[in-house]
Amino acid sequence: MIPVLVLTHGELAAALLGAAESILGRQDRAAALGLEASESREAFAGRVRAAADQLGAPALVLVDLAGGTPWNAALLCGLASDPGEILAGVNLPVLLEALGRRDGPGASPRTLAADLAALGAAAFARASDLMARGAAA
Amino acid sequence: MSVLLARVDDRLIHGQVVVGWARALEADCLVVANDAVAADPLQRTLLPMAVPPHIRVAILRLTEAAEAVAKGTLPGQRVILLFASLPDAARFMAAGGPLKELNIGGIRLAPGRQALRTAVALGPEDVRAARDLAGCGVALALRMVPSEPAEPLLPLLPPN
Repeated sequence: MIPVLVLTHGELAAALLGAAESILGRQDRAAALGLEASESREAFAGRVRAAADQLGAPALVLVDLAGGTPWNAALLCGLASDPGEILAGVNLPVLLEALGRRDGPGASPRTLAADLAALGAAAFARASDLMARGAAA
Repeated sequence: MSVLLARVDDRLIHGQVVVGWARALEADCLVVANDAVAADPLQRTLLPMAVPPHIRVAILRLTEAAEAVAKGTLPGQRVILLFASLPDAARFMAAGGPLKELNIGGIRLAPGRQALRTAVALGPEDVRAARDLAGCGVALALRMVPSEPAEPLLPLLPPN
């Protein structure tokens, strides 16, 4: 099982993991950390390192924003080193897929992240578009 | 070339700067003036990684940054200049770097620092640097994001 670590600004990480667990049930080897406004990058990176160590095997790290401090901290902690991976743009559909697909045989954080990046675009659905397609069918 | 914003932010290039300030100011160049980052290959690679391609990033030692700003040789026209601390901003100025206004965006809690606001905590060295800068005519103001009003720093400093 690939460990999943969710890192965001503020309370988003814990809320996303909580929402995912309300759908999928309690998750082992998954953790969420939120960067507080008053927290230095180094202090946050320290918490990230401790969480990654506790999760064990190279993790898939899901962050909210590429280039944000959670992203920078994860990179500073070396979490993108092969076979680990950091994927920015986490949202609930992506997190649900990550948690649902991480048990697969031969899955690695890198291959899982590549699949998720492709799925992420498809997670956006415009209701007006779907209704128009329904009307046309 | 003009410096649209000179900012103290110990997170340097991050979401507030790229998404908030760079967009609001239509900046085309981010300058990190920091001796430690300039000497660290990992951070030199990491910090520019997620900056949109139309924004150039320069990572310079404080003395190099002072010279580049003074001579106008930065790789952009609309510049955001970033320092990790108030003492760094004072060193930039001592090295001949021009500074009129300084935005205080983030100085996070560390041992010896007292919280002033959520994202701003100052220790004795920070307060000394702030007074030195103010003494040189620099206007210092707290402002994390463009949508907030600027709040002058000096009235918030502890009495001498």
